[in-house]
Amino acid sequence: MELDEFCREVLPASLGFARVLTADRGLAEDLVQDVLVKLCSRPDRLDAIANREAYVRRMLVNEYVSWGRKWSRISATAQVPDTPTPDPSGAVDDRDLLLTSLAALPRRQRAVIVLRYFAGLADDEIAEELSCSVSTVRSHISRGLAALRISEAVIEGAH
Amino acid sequence: MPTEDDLRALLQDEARDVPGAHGVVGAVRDRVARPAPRRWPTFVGVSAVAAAIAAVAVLLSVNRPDEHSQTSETGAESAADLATSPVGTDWRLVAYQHPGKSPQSVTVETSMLLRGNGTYRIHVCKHDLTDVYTLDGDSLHIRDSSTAAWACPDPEEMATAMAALSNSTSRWSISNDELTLNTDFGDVLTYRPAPQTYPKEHPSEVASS
Repeated sequence: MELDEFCREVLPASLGFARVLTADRGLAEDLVQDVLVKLCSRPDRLDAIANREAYVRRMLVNEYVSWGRKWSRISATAQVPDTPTPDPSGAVDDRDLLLTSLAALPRRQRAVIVLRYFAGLADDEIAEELSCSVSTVRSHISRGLAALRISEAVIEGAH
Repeated sequence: MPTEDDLRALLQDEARDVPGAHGVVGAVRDRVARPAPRRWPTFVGVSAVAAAIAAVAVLLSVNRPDEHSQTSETGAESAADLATSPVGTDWRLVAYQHPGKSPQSVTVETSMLLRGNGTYRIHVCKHDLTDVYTLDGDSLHIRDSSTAAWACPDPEEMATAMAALSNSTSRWSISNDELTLNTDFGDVLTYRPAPQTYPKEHPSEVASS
């Protein structure tokens, strides 16, 4: 399989996932580039990947979590829109606060949150994806949601 | 107070704000076409796990497929073979020393196996990291394996290890059944033949070239 063909298939979803994971456009592009470079350095294996989107997503998460040195130097910040929007209800404030809190989560917590609430994976699927226990996943989710100030009632009812 | 639905909506919105795919493809193509840049991160506080994985680069740099031994049942036999080539033998990290600090014993079980076919296996925590490497004289490029660090007692250490793994070179010596590695980061690592604690590979797999 050619690089272009592979990229056409996986890039849209991968870029979106990386964008959510990193909370930064530039970092998302770097992350996707790094993963694709790894994949494309052995093109003979591309055809053997059954679920390419899931495979790349897993690599993105692993790269994001494992690449401690680089990512530790980079503090993701929420990209809050410059233009203020009138919002008497305060919804925009809540959204900005949620964005900021989300960007401030530790990488593992954020990864788990993203896998559940963006990728839609169940706890056991996240555990398998990340090679950890379900209880670890739930612990990350619980702490992450607490940091995001999402209500305890929602936490208890989640998944 | 936000809800889970708010969180889902927010993430979906974020996902729409993505860089252009065309530029990514071009950048990937350029990077694949040229050698990977060397990454030399400042290496402070490297863990035993990190040091162990970084040290594989050193072992791989002396890879001689036709001289390797098969994985042996006893460590002493393995050590004898390692005097000329470390390929085909499991090694366990027993101590490490950070620059300017005293040697420390290792609590995380870490073993390394260099296969004659040009691939390596590092067993650390619950993970087997496997990938390939290339040699150019004294220089080694080891293709770091993307893996999850979640099974490690300290995932941060594993993360550091993955960063240290890339393009690492060092000096090695073997004496009295001990392999000593001096990494580029100034760490001193001591290995001894590993008892067969981990799943042992079939000799034919180890020997395959």
